Amino acid sequence: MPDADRPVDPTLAALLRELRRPADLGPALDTRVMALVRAERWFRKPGFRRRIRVTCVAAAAILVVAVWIARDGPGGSVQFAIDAPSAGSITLVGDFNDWDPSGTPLQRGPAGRWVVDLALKPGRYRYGYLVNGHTWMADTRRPATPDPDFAEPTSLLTVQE
Amino acid sequence: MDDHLPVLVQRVLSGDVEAFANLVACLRPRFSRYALQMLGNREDAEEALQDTLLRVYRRLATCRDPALVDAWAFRILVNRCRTARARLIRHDRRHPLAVPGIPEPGVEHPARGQAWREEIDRALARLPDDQREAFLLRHVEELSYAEMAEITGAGVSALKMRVMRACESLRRALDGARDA
Repeated sequence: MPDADRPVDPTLAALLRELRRPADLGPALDTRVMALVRAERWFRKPGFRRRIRVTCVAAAAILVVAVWIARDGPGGSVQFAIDAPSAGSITLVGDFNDWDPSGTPLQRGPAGRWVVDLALKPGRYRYGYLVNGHTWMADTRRPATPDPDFAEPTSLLTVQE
Repeated sequence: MDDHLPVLVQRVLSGDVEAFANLVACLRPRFSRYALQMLGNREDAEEALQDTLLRVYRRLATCRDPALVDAWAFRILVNRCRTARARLIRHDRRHPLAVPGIPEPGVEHPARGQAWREEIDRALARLPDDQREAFLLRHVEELSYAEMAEITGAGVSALKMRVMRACESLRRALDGARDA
């Protein structure tokens, strides 16, 4: 390539012969670049951001359900128990089941102990036991409170946060 | 210019990411040489070239003429090297005297040739950045002054002056070293 400013000086000509030699950083660079490009391409795929949003919403929903289950599950459950070896049936009646006399039966266990587990949200509950379908009993293990709405005292349960 | 470069560009733009590997393999040798000679050390050259190739991938759709993708990408490389040099200067790093040229496998370098190469690198390192850039673009990459002006943003007259001063400095620095 003839050119007016092309070096004709022998030193510069020798310099250019050296500088024009191949000097390659090598194919390892290609590997690194392609790894970055493939990763970037995946993130930039059409619809990727929409899929991410959907995934986040689904994950949030799952998290909410999991927390809800945890609150109502074994960790938030309360065991009601009463020792009544001679009883034929016992039901739990209170604020948590709208005072339904047959809604929450207790199960008889060894040595005449009747038990039932309920998942309760934090709060304050009044309750009692209905023995054999007609005898009202307060829970002797918890404080009782006189209730103007009922002739018999009821037990008081506070479920903490 | 490789005839198949436009084909590779079209394949990449149509979603064939593996075609970009072929494009990288085509661009890498020439780009490596420029980055090594402009920055003077392998680490910075690799970083600049990797950054350049990623930018090429991201902006490939903006390359108006796929037949000139190598020139378009080379402009990005020149800018990345400028940025790298500015960063090096900010951190007050000296231009390394390490040999930037990577010998080809199987090519022997006698001690005399190695010493000559080291003298070249020292002389290049002593050039101001704008002179080294102009000299490499003109005499190593063999660009026209019009192409250089487009890449660097400098005027043709200024570029000619830089090249001339660079040649003078290099000749003064290297006279006698070649046969020493």
